[in-house]
Amino acid sequence: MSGFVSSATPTRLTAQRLATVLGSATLLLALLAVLAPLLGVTADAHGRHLSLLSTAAFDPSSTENAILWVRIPRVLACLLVGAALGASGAGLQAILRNPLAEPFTLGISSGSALAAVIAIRIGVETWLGAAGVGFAALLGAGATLLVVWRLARTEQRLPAATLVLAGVTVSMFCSAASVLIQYTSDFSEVSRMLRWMMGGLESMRLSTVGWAAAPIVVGIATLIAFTRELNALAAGEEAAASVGVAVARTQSVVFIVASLLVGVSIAVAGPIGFVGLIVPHAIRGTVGPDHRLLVPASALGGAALLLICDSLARMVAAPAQLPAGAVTAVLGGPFFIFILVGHKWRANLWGRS
Amino acid sequence: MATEQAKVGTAQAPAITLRGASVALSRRTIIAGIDADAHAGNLVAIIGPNGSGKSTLLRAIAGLLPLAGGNIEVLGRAPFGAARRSLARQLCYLPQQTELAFGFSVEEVVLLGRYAQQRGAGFADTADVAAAHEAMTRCDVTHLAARRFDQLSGGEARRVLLAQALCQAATCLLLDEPTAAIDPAHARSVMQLVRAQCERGAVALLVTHDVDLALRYATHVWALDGGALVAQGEPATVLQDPAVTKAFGIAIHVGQLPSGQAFAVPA
Repeated sequence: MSGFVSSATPTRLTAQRLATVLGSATLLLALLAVLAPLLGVTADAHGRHLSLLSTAAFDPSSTENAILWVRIPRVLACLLVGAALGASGAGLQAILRNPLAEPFTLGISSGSALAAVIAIRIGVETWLGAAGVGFAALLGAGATLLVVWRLARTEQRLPAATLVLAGVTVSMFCSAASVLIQYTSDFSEVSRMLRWMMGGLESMRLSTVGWAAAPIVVGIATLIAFTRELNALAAGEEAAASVGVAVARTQSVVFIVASLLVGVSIAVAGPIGFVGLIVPHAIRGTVGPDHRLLVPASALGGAALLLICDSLARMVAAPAQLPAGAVTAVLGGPFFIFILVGHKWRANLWGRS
Repeated sequence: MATEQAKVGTAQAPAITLRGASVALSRRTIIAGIDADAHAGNLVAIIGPNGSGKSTLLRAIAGLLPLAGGNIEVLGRAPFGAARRSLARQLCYLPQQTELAFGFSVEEVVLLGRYAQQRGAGFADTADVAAAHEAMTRCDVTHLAARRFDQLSGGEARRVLLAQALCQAATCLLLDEPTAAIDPAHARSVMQLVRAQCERGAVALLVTHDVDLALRYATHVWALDGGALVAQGEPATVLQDPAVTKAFGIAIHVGQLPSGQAFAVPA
């Protein structure tokens, strides 16, 4: 397990270390994923207590089996959405060389939230169902991506500072527009809008997971294919170009793919904050800055974090359920502060600080 | 590394050619109509006052800036718009300033220079490690290999980046102030190793403010003033050229030490 030792003086990444770290992480995640759908909280005369589904859950005619099949799509959605957010956060931080880069600062989340709010306001749900809102959110993410892209791109380049500036500006505009629409909506619409914006994975359908799986897997694989280029970009655009990296292509592909990963995640689960921001930071502090390891490890870490948060969201207030997005933010905030104040960690996060 | 070092250019064809090369940034002309050649074996020191266009010229030759006019050829092709990966096997560029995000180690930073030589996942193979370690030895940074790059002193960081550029095994070296922030002894060894590369067939263009190093190690000096090439040729002659005196606003004195070694100082 030496691969997990905090790398204050990181050593060169070898295929063996990559395999060890990713292999152990995958194993842990698989254990979590098997445990999560079996675990629940039951309330009876003696109060609430944790309970595991018994082996009867594997009998298709039992109630427990029905419960299992409610939980399984939700666990799968957590894995996909968490992995998409973790990997895209790592990719965005790398091309922007900015520790604050994440779906929210780039306006993608606000843009898709605005689209979802508009969809709810004009009553898309009545003729398309809840999936209509998710679809609108995906379109909103795509539209925001195009706007931010057009604003930021100058000549052949995609300067990091303008991209963040454009993202923050678009994000503020979309948030303000969402507030205005909410202000003019009736009470029931507003409550559905707010509920959607909290993000959540309850009532997940296997079909939703099914259509989201392919784009997320392909997206993460694409990001992983560009991780050597991301390493070179750490030294800046010109330095990366001079060692042979096609900088504009790398930035474009990573930005578009990461944004689409975020868009699909939002369509599936609503906006879920903090995973794209804290997971890459925490992983970088643990395994070092090499993106060949960081990006896949952030995908695994994001999946694990969202699975844990969603399981908590399902259980802490059972039978009531909390929105998973609120849990990630409530747990993520303090965790991030904990990382920031840890002196040894701080230097590992972003280099000289 | 010597084995990868192919001879570039021939006595007839220069390795780097500039014909009327002009560059504009935000519509402001930074360098205008530069004509010059550098042949294999040449070590060209580019001098000039601040803002005279030295770094811009180097970036244009590295293919990082488009030309507003004229043309530049490096080993027979225009560097701007060329495929960066194949260009990186012929040309390396040391930027004037580099700020590294993330806490990479020195060894990792040097190995980034092997990007264009690697395939697949890019795990360093024995050739990469050998090239990186040879470059680190020549830049005297081997003892820093396991240190974090962002915790080095300015001069150490410069030498590490030079090692990164060297392990690219390119034959055209474009170095923007390679000796800035480097102590005098290391600055001389840096110049010696660049000179040695040139003697093995490489061509180097380096920007410097150190006229003494230029005199001692360069084979040619190009002097820029206000974006124009005002003098070029053999170092001692160019340094004492009236155009250079006018450019700097101060004369450069070229003398001889008792040992017979020539030296240059601003008078």
